[in-house]
This record gives sequence, C-alpha cells and structure tokens, in this order.
Amino acid sequence: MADWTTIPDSSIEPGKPIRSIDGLALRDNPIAAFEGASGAPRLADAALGPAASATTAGRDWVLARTALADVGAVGTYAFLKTASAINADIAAGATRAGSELRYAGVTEDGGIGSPFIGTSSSPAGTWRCMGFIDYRGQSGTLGTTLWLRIA
Amino acid sequence: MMKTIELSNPRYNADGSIDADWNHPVHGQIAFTASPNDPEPHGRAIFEWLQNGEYGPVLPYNPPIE
Repeated sequence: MADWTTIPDSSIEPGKPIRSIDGLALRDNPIAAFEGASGAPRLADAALGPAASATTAGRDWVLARTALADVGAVGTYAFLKTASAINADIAAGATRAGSELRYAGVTEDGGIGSPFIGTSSSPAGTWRCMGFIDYRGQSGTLGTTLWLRIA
Repeated sequence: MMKTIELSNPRYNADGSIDADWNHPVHGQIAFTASPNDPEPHGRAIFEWLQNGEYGPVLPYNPPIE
C-alpha cells in the first residue's frame, strides 16, 4: 500500500529540478488516494456522475456489493416485530435497539385460517422504523413493520 | 475504535446480549444492542468492550413489569 505524502509548495520551485523524493511522492500519491491511505483525499460525492449518466454496468457494480451484505448488517432492511408490548405508536423514523425487536414473518395458519406473525431471534445494533406501528390504545399491542439498521 | 465511541448505561437484555446508549456522531443518542453474533465487526467489538467492563459495570437484566 502506498503512503500519502503532502508536498509543500516550497518543495517544487520553478526553474529548479525536482528532487527524487518529491518525484516519488508525486508518483505514489495517486496510488495512495485510490487505496484510501491515511491523509489522502477521499473521492467526493461531486466526483460521482449524476443519476442521468448511470449505466447498467454501474448499477450491476452497486447491486453486486449490496448483495454481499449479511442479514442484519448496517444498511440492510428487515421485517421486524416488537419483542414486547408497546404503549404508544412507533412513528416512521423512530429508532429502537435490536433487542426490542424480533425477525418476523407472516404465516397463514391452516387450522385457524387467519394469518399470524411469527418471530425468531433479535437482531443486533440500532434500527430505524421505516413504516408505522399503531398502538390503537390496546394493552399488549405488538407491531410489525419494515426497519433499517442504522448503527 | 473505543476512544471514538461514546457508550453509557450498559445493561444485559433478555437475550443475553448487552444494550447500551450510544452517543452516535451521525444519529445522536441511540439505543444499541451489542451482540457476539453481530455480522458487523464494530458490534462484536463493542460487545467485548462492554462485557469486559470498559464502559463500567453491566447491569443485570431487569424484566419489564407486565
């Protein structure tokens, strides 16, 4: 991995030959920036093309990396149910610790004929409510909606 | 990593993982569940730090009153 070197203006004087150490830094700095070396400038959002210039190849690049995410990784969505009864609405944008939620899914019970929402384990981290859970004034209310892991 | 993560009030939850309050640089004050099974490396590291008492003693699980 290449190191980033900050080259002061005084090291490159007009009319004088460049020193080899500065020449090496000029050679290595672009490599260091692409490698994300400490101190190197980062690619800014403005350097990315606008959505209008997006390509199928670019989309595939993004989706391939999105598909690498594990279940429960930061930035992923999950269908989660509250682990215990709530006593107020959970608004879109509210956050909860993972332990307050359970992975959930809708099951149609053949015997009863109505669907119910089953749950399994709790996720780690912090999750943002991306839907809405209506308390409805009922004690023992549990709610299920879509959540986004944010931390 | 620890020096840049502000955690407080660690407590065990019903699952045996540890909840803590995180003063997050982007999201502000949030509740966070640290688990040894977290797919995120920072989550596993936080669990280890909390379990080792690096942010104070971890309170025992206190079940909610139904």
